[in-house]
Amino acid sequence: MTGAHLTLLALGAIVGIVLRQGLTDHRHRAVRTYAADSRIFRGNWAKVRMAALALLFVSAPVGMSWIGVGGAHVPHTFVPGLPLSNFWLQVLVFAGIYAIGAIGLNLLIGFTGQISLAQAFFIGFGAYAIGYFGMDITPFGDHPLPFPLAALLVVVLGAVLSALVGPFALRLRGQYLAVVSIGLVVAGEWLFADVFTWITKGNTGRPNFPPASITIWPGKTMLFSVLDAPGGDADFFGYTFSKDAAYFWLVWACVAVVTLVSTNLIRSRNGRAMMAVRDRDLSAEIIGVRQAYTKIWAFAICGAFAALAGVLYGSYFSFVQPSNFSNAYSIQFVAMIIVGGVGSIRGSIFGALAIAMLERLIERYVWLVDWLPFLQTNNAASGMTVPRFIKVIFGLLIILFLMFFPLGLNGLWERSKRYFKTWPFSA
Amino acid sequence: MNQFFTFVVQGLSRGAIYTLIALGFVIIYKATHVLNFGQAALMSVGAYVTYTVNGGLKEQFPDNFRPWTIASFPWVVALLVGVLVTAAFGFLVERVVLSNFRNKPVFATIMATFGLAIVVQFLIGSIWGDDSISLKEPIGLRYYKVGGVSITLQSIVTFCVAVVVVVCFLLFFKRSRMGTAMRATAYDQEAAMAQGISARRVYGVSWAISAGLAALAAVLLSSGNGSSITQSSLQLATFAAFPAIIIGGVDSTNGAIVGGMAIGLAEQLMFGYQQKINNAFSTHIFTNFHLVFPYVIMLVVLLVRPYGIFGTKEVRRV
Repeated sequence: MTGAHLTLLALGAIVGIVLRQGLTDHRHRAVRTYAADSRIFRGNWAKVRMAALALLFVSAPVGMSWIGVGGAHVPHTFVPGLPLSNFWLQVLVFAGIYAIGAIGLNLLIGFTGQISLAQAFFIGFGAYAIGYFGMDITPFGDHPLPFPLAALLVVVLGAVLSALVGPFALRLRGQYLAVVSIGLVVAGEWLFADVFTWITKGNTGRPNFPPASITIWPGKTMLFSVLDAPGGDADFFGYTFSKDAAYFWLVWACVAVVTLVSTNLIRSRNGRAMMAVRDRDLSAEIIGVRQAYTKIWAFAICGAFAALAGVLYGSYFSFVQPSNFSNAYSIQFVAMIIVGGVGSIRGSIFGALAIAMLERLIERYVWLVDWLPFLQTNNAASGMTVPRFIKVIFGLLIILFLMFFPLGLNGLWERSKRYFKTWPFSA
Repeated sequence: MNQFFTFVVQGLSRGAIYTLIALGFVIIYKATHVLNFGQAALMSVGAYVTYTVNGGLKEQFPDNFRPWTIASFPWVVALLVGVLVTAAFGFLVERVVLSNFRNKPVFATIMATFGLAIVVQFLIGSIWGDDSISLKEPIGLRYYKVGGVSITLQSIVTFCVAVVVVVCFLLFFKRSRMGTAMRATAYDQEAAMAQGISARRVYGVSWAISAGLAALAAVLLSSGNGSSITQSSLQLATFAAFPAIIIGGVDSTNGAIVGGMAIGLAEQLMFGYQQKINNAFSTHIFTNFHLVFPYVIMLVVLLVRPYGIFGTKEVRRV
């Protein structure tokens, strides 16, 4: 029984109590006013839960150095928390980047009903654009644009670029739009590989990306920066962390912002307009919802989030190839929202976590699956190797979720919550 | 000028292949009102089954004995077996998986076809590997000179086979009992069922025919000219066939033929001339532009006619 175990137990107890209180607290359900209905935190326990989540978020990477797993070099007196090794941090960084892209796509597909398979193109745009605007150009003399400014610029450009697709969505519906968006990905691969070669370095791939940092002015002292050194330590107010820990905080802070923006958006006038367009765009237009504006708006938001995901992707991996942004990558994002739950922000995050973990977990813990007789754990040219097995599972997940859990993981979550809430009268 | 006609001949044979793929899309769309985004997987099944029956595996793994590597049949026999096996596979896929998606939203069905494509693609990869395959076919690199224009035997065979198959299909579709049932179901499913037509059977047969056409297209794509194919090259072919069906209109067999031929011609002409265009504008950006060109044409057509040239305009009520 080490200190880490005790912390884990205590944390588990706290999470349990908070969850139980949240589940049995019915008072906040009784809303009488519109203002009460559109609050962010419904009831005090929601605030407590959010605070607990925030504590977990801050302390997760730190805990691992505390129990000596390695990575972050921080003082031992820091906040204790869930111990995470660098592997798990990497998985979570992956999942966070996926989650941002998936939330954007869910706003477009799940809330506005526009089937788009072009997410890979916009993420690719974000990745290459942060390389260009954050590193290649130096508008203020010697220094490139500060990272936050470049990232903001890329996000805005992503929104504009995606809004340009909007007008096509006005003329095309459903499957026609899906085909056009596939065309966008095909065109995107050509643009990345053959046209903008001075930015993308063609098929060989672009190796230089600005590391994430929070700088106020070019060349000035940084508050937070990820150094590009091998092993990549990060600097935060004088403390040093591993690169993965720094990106964990950055990426999941972005996920929090994106989640807040989207949940607020879908409660707003624009959000309700989006859902009206999804349910029946002709009827929506007749009752006064501006269809054109709403669709273009949804595309712009989706493009902005995709560009943000691309910025983080490029900056974290520091190596990007045109073939990374193929049609298969788009399908991966659609799979996330199917597995998580179409039409649910929380579901997008669930789906991103599930898909990111599926891939990396099976890769790393092969013993989970190597008892299967048909599986080959060596890297043979043919045969059911582990990467192929992951893809087959991935395809099956899409089909099975569509067939048996059309509401996705979020639906399962809501159903189990309802079970406990109405117990002992639940079915 | 001779070069131009050479490109045109290549374009026609390429267009014939796209026509076959596009017809496959249209048949499934007419029956179920859903595009099958997994057509590339059906093409792969056809190509790899034909390859195996043709004796390809026997040469690829001479000392690795597998029961199915013994066989080595001529190209034509292998082609027939491949088409029939793929048709059966398509029928099975419809019965086992897609019959569960009858009254589900379009989005769910589309994504199910994507999921199926992924599963089939990687299962094929696990059996046959990812290396390119080439068939032992009788066509080879032979070509004829007609007034300075070189016409490969491959393009003649491809074009003729496609024409015969398309004519047979249209006869079946317009004249036969089953074809009439298929058209009736496409026109009004409820009324057709009230007349005693089994919609279930129509769906199954549509998938089988579509899969058979896909297999034929894949085998034609991998025969002659020393062509070798991989799963990703088949996928590229379906990506070019998407614009073809959209241009023609997703629910029109005539549209698939016109669209397929147009896209094949446009793609091959762009492929042939892109180096010259590059040189003329002293740039490099037209490299590989032939992959994108079909989509550019599609966009132009869609902006003028949102339902394609021969497509029926959807009547929408509130």
